[in-house]
Amino acid sequence: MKILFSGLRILLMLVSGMALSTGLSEQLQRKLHTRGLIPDQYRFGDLYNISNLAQFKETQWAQTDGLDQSDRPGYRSQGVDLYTIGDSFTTMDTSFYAGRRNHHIWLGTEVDTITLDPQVRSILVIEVIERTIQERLREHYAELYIHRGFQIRGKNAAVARVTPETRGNFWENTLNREINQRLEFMLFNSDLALKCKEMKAGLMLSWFGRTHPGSLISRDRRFLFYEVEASRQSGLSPFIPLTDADIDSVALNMNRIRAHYLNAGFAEVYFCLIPNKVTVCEPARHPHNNQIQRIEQNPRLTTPVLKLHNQLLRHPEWFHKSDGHWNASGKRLWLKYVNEMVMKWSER
Amino acid sequence: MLFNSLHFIVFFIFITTTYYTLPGRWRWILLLIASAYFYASFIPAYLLLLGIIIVFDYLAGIGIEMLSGKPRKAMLVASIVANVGFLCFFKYFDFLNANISGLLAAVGIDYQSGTLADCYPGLALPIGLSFHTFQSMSYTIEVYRGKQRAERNPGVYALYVLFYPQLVAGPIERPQNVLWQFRQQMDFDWDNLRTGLWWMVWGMFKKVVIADRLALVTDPIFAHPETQNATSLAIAALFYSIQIYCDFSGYSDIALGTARTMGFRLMVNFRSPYFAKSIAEFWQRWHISLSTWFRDYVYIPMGGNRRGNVRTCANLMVVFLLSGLWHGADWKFVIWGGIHGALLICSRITTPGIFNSGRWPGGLRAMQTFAAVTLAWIFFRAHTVADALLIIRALATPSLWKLPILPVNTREVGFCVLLIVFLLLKEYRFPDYILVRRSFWPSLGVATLLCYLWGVFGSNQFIYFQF
Repeated sequence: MKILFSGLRILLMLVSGMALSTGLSEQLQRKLHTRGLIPDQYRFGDLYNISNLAQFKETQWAQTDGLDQSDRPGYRSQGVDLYTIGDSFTTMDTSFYAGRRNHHIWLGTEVDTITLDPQVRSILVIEVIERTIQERLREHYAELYIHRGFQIRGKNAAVARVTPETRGNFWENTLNREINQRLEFMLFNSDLALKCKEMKAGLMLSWFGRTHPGSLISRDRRFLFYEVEASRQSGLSPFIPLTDADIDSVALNMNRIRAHYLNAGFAEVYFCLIPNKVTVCEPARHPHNNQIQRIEQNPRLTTPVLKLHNQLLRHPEWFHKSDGHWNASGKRLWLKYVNEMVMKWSER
Repeated sequence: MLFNSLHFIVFFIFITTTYYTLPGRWRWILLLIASAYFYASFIPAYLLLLGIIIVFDYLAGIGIEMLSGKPRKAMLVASIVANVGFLCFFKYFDFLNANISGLLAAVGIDYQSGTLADCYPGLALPIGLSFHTFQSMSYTIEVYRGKQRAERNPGVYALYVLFYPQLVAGPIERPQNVLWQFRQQMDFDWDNLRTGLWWMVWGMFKKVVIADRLALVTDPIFAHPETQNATSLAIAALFYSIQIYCDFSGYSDIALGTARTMGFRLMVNFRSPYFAKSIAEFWQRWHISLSTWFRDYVYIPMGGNRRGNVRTCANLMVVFLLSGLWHGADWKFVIWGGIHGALLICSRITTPGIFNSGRWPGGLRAMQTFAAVTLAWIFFRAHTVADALLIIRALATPSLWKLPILPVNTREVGFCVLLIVFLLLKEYRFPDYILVRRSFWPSLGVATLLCYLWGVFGSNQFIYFQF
C-alpha cells in the first residue's frame, strides 16, 4: 500500500511538474500543438472558446470558414497591383485577389517597405472593423497607417521602424501573464473537458441568463457576441453615443491617410468599414450610433469607400455562429467588392 | 498567482508532492524557492523590494539579540522605522502628498503634488506589502521582547516572510508560531492532508461560488450609486458584507489548508464573525491575526485599558484609526476604522439600554452588530467618501425605497440568498471543520464539482490583495 501511494505521489509530481513547465513555456506549448498533442483551442470558433455554449459549437468549422478554388478570380488584372491593410477579417491567401500582384499586411503588427511599379496602378484598400474605427482612425491614425503600414522605398522609408507596443518596464513586467490560459488550453481542451464546460455554460445560461464573461448572447439567444463589442458599457460597442465631431474627425483622418498614400505614388486609396457582428445580427439591442453610415455620408469625406455594409446587414448568417468573424460568405462579399474595384481600375 | 487560478492548483500539487518526496533537510529550500516563484508570478521585480525588508530585519533580529541597553532599543526602532517607512513610501506617498497639497492650497500656497507613478513610472504598491511588513515587525519585536530567538539561518528567516500560503494576504503570523515549524521534519499524515484539502475546497467555495457571485451584484451598484434606489443600495450593502467575509475568509481557509497539507499549522483568522453579539466580540472573530497584532504591538504598549477610561477610549480610537489606515491610503478607510472605534467606545461607556444592547436576546444583539458592521462596510467599499455618504443618505430617505433594480436576474438573486442562508447555517452548525474520515474523498469530489459548476470564474482578485 505504501509503495502504491509513493508511486501515486511521484506520478502526480511528474505530471504537475510537466504541466507547469509546459504552461510556462509558450514555445514548448506551440511545439506540442504543432505535433498534434494539444488540440487547437479555436477549432470550434473563438466565441465558443469563451462561452462554451453547446448550441454555438461549429463542428464543421473548415467547411463554413474556408474559401475554395471556385473563389479564386477567373481573371487577373495585369494593370493593377493591389495592396491591402486589414486584420483578422481579411486574413486569407492573397491568391484570392484579382490584382497582378497582391500584398496584404495585418495592421499594426507589420511594416512593409515596398517599391511601387510605375508601369501599373497601385491601389490600396484599408479594411477597418466598426469597433476599432474610433481607436484607429481618430487618435492613432498616423501611428498606425502612416508611420506603420506600407512604407514606400525611397519616399518615406526613414520612418519604417516598428516601435514595440509596450517596452517592458522593469517594475511592470509580469511573469507569464498568460500561463492560466495556456494551462487551461493544455489540460482542459479535450472533448471530455469541453463537455463539462458546456454543462456549466448551459446551466449558467438557463438558470441565470448569463454567459461567461467576455461573451454576450442576443436577446433571442440566436447569436453570440464579444462582450467588448456588444456591451453598452464598452467603448468599442456601436451603442456608445458618438458626436458629429467624433465622426468628422474620423472622416478627416481618412482623407489624410489617403493624401499620404496618394503622395507616395498610389493611384487610389479605398476604405472598407465592416460592421460589428452585433450591428448585423442585433442592431436594436440598444440605441445604435450608426457610425458607419454617418462616416460614409459625411460631406467632409473625400476618400472613396467600398460600401458592403448595407448588403451585409441583410445577412446575419454570413457571420459564424460560434465566432466573432464572418464566415466564407462574408469573405466572398469582401472579395467581390475588392475584386470588382480592381477590375474597374483595370478597364480604365 | 491567485489561489483561484489553475496556475495555483497545478503549482500546489507539484510543490506538495515534491515536498514529501524530498528529504527533510531540503524541504525548506524547496518552500523558499516555491514561495519566491509564487510572489514573482505577480511582478518579479517586487521580489527585490521584499528582499530588502528581509535582509534588513534578519540583520536587525541578530543585532537586537546581540546588543543590550539603548543600542538594542535603537536597533528595534530602526527596524520599525524602516518597515513603516517602506510601507509609507509605497502605500501612503500619494495620500500624504495629496493631503499636504490640499492643506497648503487652503492657506493659499500652490504646491504641485506629484504621484508616486509620476516620480517613478511603473512603480506601484507591491502586492501584500502591509502583510509582509507587519509580519516582519512582529519578528523583530518578539526578538526584542525575548520571546523569540533571532533566526541565524537567513534562508529560514526569508521563508518566514515569504511562506507562500500566507504571503500576500496573511494570516499575519508570529515568529513563535511558525519559525520552529520550518525546522521540523513534517511526516506525511492523512489527517493533515484531508483537513488541508477540505479547508482549501471550502475556501474556494466561499470565494468563487459565494463572494464572486455576490460581486456580480455589488460591483455595478457601487460603481454608480447615484443611479440606484435605496432598496438596491441596501441589498448591495448587505451582499457586500457577506462578499468580503467569504472573499477574505475564503483566502485564509485556502492559506491554512495549503499549509496544513504539508503539516504546517497557521493561525486561524476568522471565527464566524457575523455571529458576534457585540463589536468587541466581532473583532475577536474577524481578521484575528491583524486585530491581535494591533492589540499586542500598539494597544497594550500604549497602556491598553490600564490607565483609566479616557485613556482606554483614546487608545481604542487610535488603534482603529490606524487599522483603517492600514487597509488603505484613503479617508474612507480611516472613517471605517473610526466608526468601529466609536462603536466600541460607545459599548464600553454606555450602560445596557437602547444604545447598548447588553440585555437584548443573543440573536437580536448579533443582528444589531451585523447591521452596524454592514453600515460601516459602506465606507470601506464605496469608491469615495462622497459616494458612501450618498449611499447612506439614500438609505435614510424613505421615498427612495422602491422595487430594486439589480444587475442580475431574479433567479440569481434567489440563488445568492440561498447561498447566504447555507453559509450562515454551516457557520452556525459547524463553525469548525470536523474531520470526517468516512466518505471523505467522495464528499471532496462533490464539493469540488460544485465549486466548478457554480463558481464564477474570471480574473477576480481577492479583495485583501490590494492591502
